[in-house]
Amino acid sequence: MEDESFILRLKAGDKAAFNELVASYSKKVINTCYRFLLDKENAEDVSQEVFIEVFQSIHSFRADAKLSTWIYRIAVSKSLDEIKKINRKKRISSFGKMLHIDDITQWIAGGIRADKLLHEKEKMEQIKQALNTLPDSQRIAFTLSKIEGYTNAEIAEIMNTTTIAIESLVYRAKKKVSEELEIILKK
Amino acid sequence: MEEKTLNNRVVQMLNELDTIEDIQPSADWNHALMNKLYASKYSLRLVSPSVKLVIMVLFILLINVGYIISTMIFSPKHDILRNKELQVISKEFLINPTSINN
Repeated sequence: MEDESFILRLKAGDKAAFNELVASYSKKVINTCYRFLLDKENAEDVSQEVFIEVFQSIHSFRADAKLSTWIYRIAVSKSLDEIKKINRKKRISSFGKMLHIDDITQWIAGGIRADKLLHEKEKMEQIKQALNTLPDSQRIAFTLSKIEGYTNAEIAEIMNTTTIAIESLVYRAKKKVSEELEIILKK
Repeated sequence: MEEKTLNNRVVQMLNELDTIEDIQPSADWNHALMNKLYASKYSLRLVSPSVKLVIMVLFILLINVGYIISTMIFSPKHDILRNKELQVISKEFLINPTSINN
């Protein structure tokens, strides 16, 4: 998949090569975005942006990293950008959030099922809140380590560091998330 | 909340991150991606940096050629007019060399 001729075909704008690339990487890219965003729809949108970016920037791709590493780096960076965008929006619309307008609408619409959804949504929000306190490096290492298919060596390659550093980042991230979740649950 | 219960809840929440189910790329997702790619295909962003550089160099060259041509066309006329003006001034103001001798 990652041989030179395939990359040359991509650079030449070969549609079949690009379809091959999407078929090979779409699942892992979507799920990478999903684990960062913890929202299916957003993950699908962001993963599409990842492939558009790959398509548009393939000319600048140099073989100093593996093609897969380059694609996953784009996925991570786009996901983090999206998280920052969401957090900015949240701060702006904090008033609406304070009133739980969406949750109330869901409650009225669905009754008991909505209650379960609301609980799940609340739990997910708490996890997101805890993850938001992590520095980017810890968040990337921790999130990627939770996705099946990423080895520590691969995460190290994506983050341009060593596997020992990854282990340390994951350990610190887990500790910090646990502490944050405790604080959130105590409230 | 009791410390033990709290710890259990934290562990439970962390475990949930491990058990998140994977998403499968659907046909709709693929179709939407192809549409977005098609839309972006004809945008300027698709043009590679080297092509952008060539376009920029050609543009600068065109401006330079235009400037050179315009100076070639307009400058001689301007110079002739200037020469004529100088001749008039010299006729009006310069003292005739013979008058000095007298």
